Amino acid sequence: MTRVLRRASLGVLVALGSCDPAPSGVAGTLRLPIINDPIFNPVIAPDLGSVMVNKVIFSALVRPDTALQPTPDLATAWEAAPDGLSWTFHLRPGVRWHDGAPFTARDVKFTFDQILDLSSGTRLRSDFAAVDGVDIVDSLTVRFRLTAPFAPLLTLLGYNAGILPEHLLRGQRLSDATAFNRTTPIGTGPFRLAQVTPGATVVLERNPHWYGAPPGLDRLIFKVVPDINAQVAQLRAGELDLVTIEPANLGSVQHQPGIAIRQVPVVQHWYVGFNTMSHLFSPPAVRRAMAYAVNREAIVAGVLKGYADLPTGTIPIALRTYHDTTLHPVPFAPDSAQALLAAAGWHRDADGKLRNAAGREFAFDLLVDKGNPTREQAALAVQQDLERIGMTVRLRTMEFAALVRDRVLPGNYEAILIWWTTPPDPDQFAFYASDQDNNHVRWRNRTADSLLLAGRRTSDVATRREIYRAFQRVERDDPPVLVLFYPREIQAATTRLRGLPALGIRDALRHSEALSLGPGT
Amino acid sequence: MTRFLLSRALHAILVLGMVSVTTFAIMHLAPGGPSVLADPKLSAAERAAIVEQLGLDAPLPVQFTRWITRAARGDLGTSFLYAAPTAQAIADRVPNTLVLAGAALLLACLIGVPTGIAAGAAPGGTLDRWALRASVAGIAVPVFWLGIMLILVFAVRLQWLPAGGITADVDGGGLVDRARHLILPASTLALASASELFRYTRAAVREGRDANWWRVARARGVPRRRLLWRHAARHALVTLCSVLSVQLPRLVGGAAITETVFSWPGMGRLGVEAALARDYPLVMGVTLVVTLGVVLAGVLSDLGQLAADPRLRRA
Amino acid sequence: MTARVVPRGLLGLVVMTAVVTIGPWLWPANPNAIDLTNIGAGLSPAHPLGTDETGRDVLSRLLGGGRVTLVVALLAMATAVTLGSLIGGIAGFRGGRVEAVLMRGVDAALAVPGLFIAICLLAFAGPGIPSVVLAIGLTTWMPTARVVRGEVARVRREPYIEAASALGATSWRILWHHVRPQVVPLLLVTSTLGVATAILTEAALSFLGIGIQPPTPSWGNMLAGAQGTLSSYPWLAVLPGLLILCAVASVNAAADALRPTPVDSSP
Repeated sequence: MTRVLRRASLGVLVALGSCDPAPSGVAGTLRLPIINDPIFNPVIAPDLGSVMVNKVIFSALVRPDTALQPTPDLATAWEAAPDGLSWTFHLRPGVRWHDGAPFTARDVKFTFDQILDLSSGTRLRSDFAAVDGVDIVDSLTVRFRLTAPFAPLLTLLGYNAGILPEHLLRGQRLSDATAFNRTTPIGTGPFRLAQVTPGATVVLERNPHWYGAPPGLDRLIFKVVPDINAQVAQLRAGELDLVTIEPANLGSVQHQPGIAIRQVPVVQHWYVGFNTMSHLFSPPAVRRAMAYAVNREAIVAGVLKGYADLPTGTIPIALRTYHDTTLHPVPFAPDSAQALLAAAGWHRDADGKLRNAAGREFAFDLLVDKGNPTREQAALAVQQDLERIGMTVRLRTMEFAALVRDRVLPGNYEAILIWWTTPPDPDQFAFYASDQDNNHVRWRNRTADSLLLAGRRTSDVATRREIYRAFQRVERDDPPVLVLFYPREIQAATTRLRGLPALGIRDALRHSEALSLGPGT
Repeated sequence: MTRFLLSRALHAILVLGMVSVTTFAIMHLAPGGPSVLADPKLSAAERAAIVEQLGLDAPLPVQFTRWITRAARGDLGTSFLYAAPTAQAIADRVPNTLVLAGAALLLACLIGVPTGIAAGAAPGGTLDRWALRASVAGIAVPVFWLGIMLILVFAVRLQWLPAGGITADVDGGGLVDRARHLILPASTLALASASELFRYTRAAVREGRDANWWRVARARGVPRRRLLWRHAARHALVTLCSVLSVQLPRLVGGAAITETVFSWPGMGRLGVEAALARDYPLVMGVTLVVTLGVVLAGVLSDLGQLAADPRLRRA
Repeated sequence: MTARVVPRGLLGLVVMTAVVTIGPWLWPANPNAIDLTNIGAGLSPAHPLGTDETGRDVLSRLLGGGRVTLVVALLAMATAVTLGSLIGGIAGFRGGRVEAVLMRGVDAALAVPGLFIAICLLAFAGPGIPSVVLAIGLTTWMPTARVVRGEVARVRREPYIEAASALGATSWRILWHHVRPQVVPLLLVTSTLGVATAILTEAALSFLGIGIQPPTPSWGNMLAGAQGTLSSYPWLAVLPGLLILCAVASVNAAADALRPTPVDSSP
């Protein structure tokens, strides 16, 4: 009975919504889960939940379109100097902060002063390592000074770098601005904060003064739901509208009335990193052999239920412009692996174990962070496949924080199953160029170094594409890591949802004004 | 009475001291470190800046002295996770936990005590046997599993009750709305306590029935029913008070699981999140507040026992 | 409790222990061998209880998981009982200031929600059986300490102990010969209850993702892991859930049977 009543009242609201140009009530409210109370400050917030909310409240200079190419947002036009050492941005006139104050070049300068100043608590410094400073040209023009040409600048400006209001935050340390960070954030985005209930909900309402087309929703609510199974249950109970789920949860949402499942490739690559400082893994032939030995198709089909793409290198398929589609995934071929290993001096003994001339076994520890079923199962599959060709693989699980601090950063491991989420740009200099901070596998390849440097300094898209194609071919002969798959984000949403761009949720929320709710299908 | 309260206050300070030192030591010595630093992309310089900003670069004894001097003045520091004063983060959650734990305790008493008295009054009867079986199961069910089952049945399938949260997202907050959100989590949390209260009450009533005063009173013609509810129940109440004071920290700990399943913004979940993320100030703050609550509850329970059993007043 | 519950509880416990002990010999399938081509399969001769979401044999996981669960529970209980009787015993026997300080320690440990401390403790020994044992043991010893202290303090004041002490018996001698026999029956009860607590605590830790770490199976992590697949493979949650329920219920019934008096009014 209750259900019937609820359905009926919902129907009435939907009907009202369709004839009223500015619908009110439940009909125009979209609810998404986050797992933690967000910090409303894009410069200092470290966690995914905050990143999502901040993308809606705080606009950036540019935002990515569905091909992940930068398009205008707070900046309407830009040009780079011929030497690539400075970029000029023309800001959108007439933009107002949620409190009514005008948005100007001072806000942009202020934000980047904070990002570049380590003592502010910034989490974005390394994204903008190439930026030397920002100058105000006039009230609606800024110039970025760079220390070297830096092609990913535009992408990174649209990634996490939401612009902060100078008039509210000037003179205080960002992390000390508690009221702003927790209850009264002011941005320029299509939605503004209406109400926060700590630990429970963040209610955003339509910003009537937003500069673009009026947002299609009245409200966007982020609900704090820490448990993924509870998120799924709430989606099914109609208390959430859009949830990103793990492959293991698929069974709970498939074939449910009112729920549609979409999949979007995201800019991630999951891989097994082999420490190239170890005598086991330094020869490229051994790393190529392991790529043959691991059955990635089975992992994608079994662990990820098909919601992932087979890899060809470290540049994922989501980077459509740069991913080389002419390359084919490395096939599952244990015999080829065996042959490569034999050429590298590793032969199978009578007991089936791989041994070298000195009689040493091919044995190593494979680390994985604990608590994530997808990674744990993928690690099991890798272990099983490598043991089939005679290696001894000991699986070790660790807490993620300890894994990062004690193993990844010091490069203190033999093999590790982990992933990179990168900005939507092919620049992987920090990850795979020699001696870079994030190159924890210690991969060194001179050709790759020069290609990665050239790619970072070249703005022309066509030239860049050729550079990264060459890089992907280098990776085939000398694999820096064993890429397992490119995951797809699985978005389970109400069938009433309209206007969600085909992007990962992080990037899709830069287009929150396009979202709306229609009748269910 | 004054002496009693004074000695309890001394005890409380001792307990709080021990709790702070041990928690601080365990947490800071545990491998891993704060999750805010667990980003493999952070460069060495960024990490150093964050470590310095969080005050984690000082030696541990210095950090502890700093923390305790501030805590003594009521300043519990700034949470890493929330970038806000710890005291504020906790104060936001305390009422929610009190409501949930209170409702669960009330529910547990309402179910456990009368059933226990009735069962104890007629040992071996149908009610006694079935209630006993139910209580065995009630203690043995993992809390998270019970919670998820209740959600699947009452929220997903029947859609009678909400699956999580404390109020409706829009225009929520009315009394009925809050009560509807409270039913499932409170029942989940109450089940184990109700089962235990049932068993204690039942045992206490049975013990009372075997006592001499019961036989004498029965011989003098006092009606059984009056005897049962007036005297045996009172006897059971004394046991109950002490049982309840032991239940409290467990309710808060168990609440962490229930709160996670039902997305209930309480202290238990806050503490677990903080411990998982090694948010040092927040873990210390939550632990301190919970300890204080438990100590206070202990005093109240003692006073309750004094009130329920006049004989103890002389002791 | 009623006489009929006694053998049932103990019997259940014995049967369960026996099955998980000899089970892996009777059914030697590898509980960690995944088979990504045979996911969520139903009952078959090769997999009498089907396979889980990565194609592992459910029967062998239940058997192996039962071993892990019971071993963890027993070791955690042993840790808790040893620590508890040590602290409670010393406090009860020494009395005075030693007792005051130790019992405040017990109060302190009781006042902290054990879960927070367990989470931090778990990090010390890394994920694995020892750290879970430690985390549960070090957060559940307090009831034992209270019970033992009470009993020791009571026995200590008995006239015959005072007599023995006056006759020059050493403390250890008195403890061993006179106090121990009185305390052991009570310890039996608290330790049996401790096993039940440990099983449920491990399940709760598994729900938070910090219990026994997969791929090593435990009933707790199997139950927790099955929550995501409740709609697609509901039976994966049913069996470990039932086993936990039975184990805890029979342990509790056994404790009731061992209890000298019907109620444990220890607090």
